[in-house]
Amino acid sequence: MRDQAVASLTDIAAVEQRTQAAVAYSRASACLFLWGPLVAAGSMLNQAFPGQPPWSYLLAPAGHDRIAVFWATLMMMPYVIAGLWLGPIFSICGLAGTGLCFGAFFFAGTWLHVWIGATYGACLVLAGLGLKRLGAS
Amino acid sequence: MEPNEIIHQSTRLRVMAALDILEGDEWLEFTRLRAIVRATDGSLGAHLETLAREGYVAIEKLFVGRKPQTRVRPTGAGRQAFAAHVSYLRALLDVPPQPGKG
Repeated sequence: MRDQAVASLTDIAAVEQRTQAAVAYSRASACLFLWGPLVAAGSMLNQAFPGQPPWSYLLAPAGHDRIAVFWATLMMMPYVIAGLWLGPIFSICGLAGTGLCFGAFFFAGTWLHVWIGATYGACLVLAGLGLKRLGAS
Repeated sequence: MEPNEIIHQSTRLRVMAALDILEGDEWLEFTRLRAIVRATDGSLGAHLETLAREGYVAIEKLFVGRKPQTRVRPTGAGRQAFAAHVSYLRALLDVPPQPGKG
């Protein structure tokens, strides 16, 4: 009886962990659908108006190329860390976003903000769709 | 304390454990629940029917676009029954093990 109880409680803990990940994915997907387009819009504005109007900081990483990439990767860090508790998809999204931002720094040239906008916009929305499929309704 | 004979079965125990995580207005879609509890379609369907008959879960069938979707959530009675069964399991661990018995 005791062994059965231990096995049942272990089973319950494993199922709870999997369900928490599904619920977290669902909630995060809603945020990504909102955040992705906002950041993409901010990045496009930064590209179009390189004078960096103050409001653009509210939407997307701005400023010097290195500073923009720094903020972009810093904003991905919580996703990487959240993946340790909430499910590996968060870490994968965070690492993919970080890699794409570094790619922007080395390869995008003068189109850096467009690249970051595409990364945050398209990729975050795609990640949101993926998380929605995995999550609870 | 007595075990809950409905929830004691392993698949139904996993189903209730998964649903108990949800907040009041949240549902779990059938295919997602099937992946979480690692059951087959037929098995999960049968166990959900049993749980619904006891009033432990609510099942809703709807259409999302043209695709049918079944989703599930726990009832108040289901949450109480699951909590009581978990208490029973924990109480078993408080009993000192007897030599020669599992």
